[in-house]
Amino acid sequence: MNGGRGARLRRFVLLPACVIVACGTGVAHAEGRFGDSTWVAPGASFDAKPSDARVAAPDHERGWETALRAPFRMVFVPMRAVAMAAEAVADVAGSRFDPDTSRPRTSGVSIQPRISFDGLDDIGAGPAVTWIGFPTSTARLQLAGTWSPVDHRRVRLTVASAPRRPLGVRVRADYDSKPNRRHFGIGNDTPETDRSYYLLERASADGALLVGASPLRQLRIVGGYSAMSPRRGYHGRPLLEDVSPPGSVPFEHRATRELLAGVSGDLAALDEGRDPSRGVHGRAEFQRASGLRSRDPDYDQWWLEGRGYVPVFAKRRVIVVRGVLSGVEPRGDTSILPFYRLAVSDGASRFAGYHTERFRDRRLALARIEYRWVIVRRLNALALYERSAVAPRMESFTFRDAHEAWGGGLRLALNEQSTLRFELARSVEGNQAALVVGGDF
Amino acid sequence: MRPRIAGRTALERIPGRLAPAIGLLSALLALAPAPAPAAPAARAAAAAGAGGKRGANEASSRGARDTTRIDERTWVDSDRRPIQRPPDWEASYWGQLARQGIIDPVSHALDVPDKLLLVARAFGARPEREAVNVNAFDEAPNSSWFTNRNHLRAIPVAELRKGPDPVVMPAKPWTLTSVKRRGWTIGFQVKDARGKKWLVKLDPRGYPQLSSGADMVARTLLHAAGYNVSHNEPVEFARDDLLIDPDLERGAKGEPFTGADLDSLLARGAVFPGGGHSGFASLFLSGHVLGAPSMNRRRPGDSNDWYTHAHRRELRGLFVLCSWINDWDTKDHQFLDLFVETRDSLGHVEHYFLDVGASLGAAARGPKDLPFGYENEFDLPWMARRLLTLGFVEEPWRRARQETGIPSVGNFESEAYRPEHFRTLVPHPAFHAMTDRDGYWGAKIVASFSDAQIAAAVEAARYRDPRAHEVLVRNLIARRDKITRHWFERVAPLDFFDVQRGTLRFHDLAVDVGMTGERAYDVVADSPGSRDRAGRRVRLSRAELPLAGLGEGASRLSLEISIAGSRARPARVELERKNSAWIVTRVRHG
Repeated sequence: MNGGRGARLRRFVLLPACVIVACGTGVAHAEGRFGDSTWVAPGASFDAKPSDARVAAPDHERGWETALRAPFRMVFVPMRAVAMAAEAVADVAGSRFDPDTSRPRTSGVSIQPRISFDGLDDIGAGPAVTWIGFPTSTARLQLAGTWSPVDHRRVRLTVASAPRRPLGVRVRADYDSKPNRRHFGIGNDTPETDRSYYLLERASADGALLVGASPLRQLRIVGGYSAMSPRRGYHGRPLLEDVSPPGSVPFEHRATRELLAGVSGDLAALDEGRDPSRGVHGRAEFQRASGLRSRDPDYDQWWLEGRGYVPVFAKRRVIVVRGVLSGVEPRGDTSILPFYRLAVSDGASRFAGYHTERFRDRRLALARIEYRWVIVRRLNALALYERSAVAPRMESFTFRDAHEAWGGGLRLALNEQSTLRFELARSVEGNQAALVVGGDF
Repeated sequence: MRPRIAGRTALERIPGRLAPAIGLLSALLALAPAPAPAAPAARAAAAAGAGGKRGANEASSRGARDTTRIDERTWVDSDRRPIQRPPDWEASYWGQLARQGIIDPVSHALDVPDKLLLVARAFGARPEREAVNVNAFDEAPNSSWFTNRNHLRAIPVAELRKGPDPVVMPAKPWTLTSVKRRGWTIGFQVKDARGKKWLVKLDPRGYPQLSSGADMVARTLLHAAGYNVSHNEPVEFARDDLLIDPDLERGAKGEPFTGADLDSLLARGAVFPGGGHSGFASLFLSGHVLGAPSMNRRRPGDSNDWYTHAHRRELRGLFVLCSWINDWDTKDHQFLDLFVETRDSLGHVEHYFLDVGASLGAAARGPKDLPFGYENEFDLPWMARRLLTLGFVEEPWRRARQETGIPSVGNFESEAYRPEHFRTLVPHPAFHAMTDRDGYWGAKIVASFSDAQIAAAVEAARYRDPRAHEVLVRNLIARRDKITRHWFERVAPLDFFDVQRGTLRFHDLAVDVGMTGERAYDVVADSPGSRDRAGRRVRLSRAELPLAGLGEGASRLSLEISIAGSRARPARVELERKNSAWIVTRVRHG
């Protein structure tokens, strides 16, 4: 009886109790797994009440590291000063680029700094005033003036109707006075040692009727006025009058004034305006200049340019070819042209590897091939090869006489109309570095 | 222990007239590639020399530092002690970008000591500087920067979806009080019908829910990870829901802002097919805005701010989270410090992580550019590679198929994604200083998110395009798994050590998350003072180590636990005998 009760007790009470205890133990030990919805980290007091304790003392550089770095810090103090200055400049300049997202600017006057480059030794600065909504509600007026340490003075006034319209108007007035322009003589074989300096003061004004919304597919009908005056220069030795025999340089001290009328145009088929990788671009300009006074020359000047872009298996690698042919031709009674009105290797027709204004004559030809590849965003590296020459007549050009140069550089596209280029090119006359801002090539 | 910042005492003794000059010289010296704590000291001293209030604050903090208790085992770093409001300060935006974006990378490239330390590493040295605010268990304790959440206690899905607060939508109509003028995102401040202030940001035109969706997903995940974020809500509104504040309209505090200006502003934002404008509203945080903190220093005048920000664990480990959600625009100005007053004009500084709309596949002006997240803006190594190969090198972002074709998602992928190759647009000093231990900590947080939690975070954005939800969840899960695999193969994911009944139990997180099956572990035990000094080797077949027989007669026991057959860096655990039972006193990973 007792044994049977004991057996029943074991069967109905102890056994289930053991099962429950076993299960209970199992439940007590079953922790959530990391990453499960039931996870609670064992040992972590994450709900702990705040105390006054800090987890560690303030950090400081390790002694041995200070000892290791100290000499280098001393050596690099000048570079650090430059870095701090760069930081300060970035802060001031950066705020100029910070976009005001609240509204697109449709009117109003603003003043901004303007930097001008005309070679590494001629960097100017000054203010630029922009008036959006003047003289008409959609037009824009901009007046900018810069001065550089070599006393290169520039003032430009531009009034333009709203951009990207099928029909537009642009009025422009320029003043430029540079006291150290270079003259090496006229012709393709002038020696580099014949360098001399003079001052050239230029003033011009023109108006243009623009037909075509895009600057890359546009016809421009232009009329205007131009005056140039060569004078005794400074910020460079020797001066032109000190080295050239009297009468050897045409119009050496004679100013000229002309009325201009002409037409120019661009026609392009490109995959992208700013950094094209495929397509062609042609540009042509023709201007007829008529002297205002009897002693002023009459002449025609023209410019032909072609560019081609071919991608090398990808948009980021491009071969670019560019050819320029420009000329100036006396007309009517004029037989001699002022030296400063001739085609010169400067600006868009600068010869790589040579000084600016190194060559001048009635005709100028330039052929370049460039391989460009993207380094970062809009910044491209480039390798270039160029042959260029000046000549009195078209038939005088020969391939053999052309000046050869090769080199490399960087190109940053600022917008469709403007780039910043740094080039280092080598020619028979040595290495030449150039910083060019504003060209669209 | 007497915590001090090197050089401070000497600088504070300098006569007032000389202090600015010496401060400047010190600052120049401190402008080193490696974050140098002498800079804040020097600048503070310069300010003190000029008789500024900042000097007084620094002086008062010195006393507090001398008396504060340091407890390595704490889970709460007490950095909310009442202080007077620090002066408003933030590094200049563009200057900071120039420094971190260009100057620092060039400095690092020219940094000779760094190269010497690199050579030393080849000989087994570990010269890298570990994060400071790490407790004995290799965790970042709760602080005004960070609160331990999902990786220590899983957040229920419904709670995670809500984010920091319950859902509160801005009540219409909204009165527009000012217009956001800086930055690429279009936005404005409004006061809602209940008088609450919100910042409304519009999605870019043609891409409804792109930025707002990315912001919602990113901030929900970041909050669940432990960071302080703002209360944001995706919104749809009509032009008629907006009123212009009369003062703003007549230009009482600047240029007038008319109805036509508002129309023009809205026209540049995204519109839903039904005509409503798409964006998100961010509730103004309470407290006084002090400005963005700098990662290279501490906040001037904040005596609670003990650690150079780049050496904080939660900021270094943030790299892994940013890599996960592709927050490619993380920089100093994505953070905001607020002074929260608690009593009698005293209070403390809270640190928020804001503006995470430039995450996933989004940018302020549309889908993100393809290189974003893969390269720094000024990435010297990639620039050099492209230059030297004449442009023939193919970058990973070109190979990655990022374009989803979904307007609300933009450019986001997981196939070509490599966790360690993630890059922010501007190099981040804390990310640069990150070590394997910090990376493992960040990966542990990322790994703690379950598929359901990730789906809940994406649901928080309330995407209307069902494809967006599917693509984002799929990619976030895939990226999480890649992160887990990368870091858990680098650092042994053996964690949460706990002694129960004489047995040391721990979790193999890789096993827990299903990355691998059960595996064996090798233990090297060492106990100073024990009879068994040579170091005993034990192989475990499961994550349990019976401590009986180990460290007999010793009061301390050191264990190095590695995964059998794995090259992952082992975990090191220290135990101490208290009342005849062992307790875990210190854990270090990697």
